Amino acid sequence: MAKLRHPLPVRLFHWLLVPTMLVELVTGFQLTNFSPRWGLRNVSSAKKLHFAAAYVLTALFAAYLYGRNKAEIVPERRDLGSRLKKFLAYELFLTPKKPEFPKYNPGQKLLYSLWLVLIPFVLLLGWLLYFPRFFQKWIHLFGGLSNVRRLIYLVSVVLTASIAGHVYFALTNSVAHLKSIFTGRT
Amino acid sequence: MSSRTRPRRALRTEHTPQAAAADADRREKHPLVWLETNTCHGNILSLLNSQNPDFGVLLRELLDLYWSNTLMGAKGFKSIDVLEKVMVERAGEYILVVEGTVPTAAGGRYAYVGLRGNGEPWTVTDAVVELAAAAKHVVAVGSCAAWGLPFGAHPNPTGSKPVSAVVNQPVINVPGCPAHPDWIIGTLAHLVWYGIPELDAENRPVVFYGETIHNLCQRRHYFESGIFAREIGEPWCLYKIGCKGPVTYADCPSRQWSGEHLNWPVGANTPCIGCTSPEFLERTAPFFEHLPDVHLPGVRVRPNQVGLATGVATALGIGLHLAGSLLTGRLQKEWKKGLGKTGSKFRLKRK
Ligand code: HEM
Repeated sequence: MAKLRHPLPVRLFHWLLVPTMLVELVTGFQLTNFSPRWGLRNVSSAKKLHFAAAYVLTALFAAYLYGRNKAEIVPERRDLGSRLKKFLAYELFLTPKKPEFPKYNPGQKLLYSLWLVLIPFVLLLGWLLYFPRFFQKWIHLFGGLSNVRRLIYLVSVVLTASIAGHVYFALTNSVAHLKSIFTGRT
Repeated sequence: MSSRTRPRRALRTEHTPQAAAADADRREKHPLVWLETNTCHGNILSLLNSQNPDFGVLLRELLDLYWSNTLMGAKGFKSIDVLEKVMVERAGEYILVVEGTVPTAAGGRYAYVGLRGNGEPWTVTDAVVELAAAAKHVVAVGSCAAWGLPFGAHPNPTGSKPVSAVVNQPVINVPGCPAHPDWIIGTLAHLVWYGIPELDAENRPVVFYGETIHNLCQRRHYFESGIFAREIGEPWCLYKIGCKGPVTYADCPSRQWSGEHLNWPVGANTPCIGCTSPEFLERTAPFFEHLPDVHLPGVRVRPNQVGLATGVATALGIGLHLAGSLLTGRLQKEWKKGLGKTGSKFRLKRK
């Protein structure tokens, strides 16, 4: 039987994360620039969905941060040196030979580590905006409410772009790995 | 109604035991020094527009105005003499209101109050520091005094700073461009009768700056329903054309402006510019954009330009990589191999 690549908790986390993250991002962009073309009737419903997803996302990511073995995700020194070179050479079509990596390639590690930081950060910013009076001092530290609002927008742009990249690579890079996020095994 | 027939308690904010107790020493007026520094004088003019109580009542019943650059009749040594005396004779008693930023560059030589009794020029910076040191309370009225802008905007040649950055005592901020007369009078009356009011993290009195414009706005239902003005002058929610209501604390929507509490910016179909926020002007600009500009080295860009550029770059990156994978046959190979191994029913036909 094929090797176990993703234990059930990771798969569960992943497939709960996908819809919540998508709802969070889509409604978030709706809140900066609402348009009924996106299927929501009004700003009020965008807000409700956005806040509901934020609660789920916070719980989900807290569990992930607590339970996930980060050693598989955080890049080692080699991931930023020789491995990265091999990875980039292949992805930039400079060499036809597909390199092998322990579990995640350096690109994945960098991406997942970026999210390990950015998703909690964006959630923090969101909670600051949700409870602005309670978090007055924090908001002051971040340069005021309008700065927090701008920051959350910019971070969301980065998150959206990186998720698009993730989905693209997930669908094209390795069918075995793609299968494993559903079944657990390659 | 003329101010003459107005009852004395026109200034009273609440009927509490403290208010009754305060009645006794109500006759004793509280010394006030209103010092204008780098300013357009907008806040003293705003105060003069006050009604119920008007400025006359304020002077007759609450405050003993020792100095005001705009209002006083005295000039030269005669006036400076008052400032020097009040520091000594009423030390620890007077309220110092500063209106404007404090120019600290070049040893403060960008602005002078005048010549002191000893003939030495008295810089505004020194005057603020000295007057504050002997004051009972220091109040920064207007956004210049409270936050330092616009005089303190980059490149800030005069080294202009908010009052709180130059004096050692705590400063109560009553921001606004200008501050609403009620915010000024309310704060001063509170100081006289009950002491320091409850302040927020930016040292603003919570009574006036305790809620966002957005949460008090009469047009909030238009926001919730997604009915937005596209241009200034349209009577809907002004969120999309840069209204800073959601990030601005002030009670303008319920208090309203123009003496008789007639109207306010949004009521006149123009967005709130967020003038009571500490980041006001430089870090909230432009007025009519939803989000403030992003300052990159050498350029200023709109956040949605950053969004657009990132989107285009991502699409291009993915598109190019996809084209490369198809042209080199990598993608086809991977999927053939993958589907062959999984035993899936969706096997690509070989023959
Ligand atoms: C339809 C969309 C998506 C697909 C098909 C997909 C697919 C995958 C696959 C195949 C993996 C495992 C890669 C490997 O085994 O090498 C993975 C991992 C991961 N994905 Fe996604 N993904 C999707 C959307 C998302 C979204 C929206 C997020 C949210 C940010 C996300 C976050 C993650 C994370 C954090 C991991 C690493 C899990 C771990 O090992 O701890 N994915 N995804």
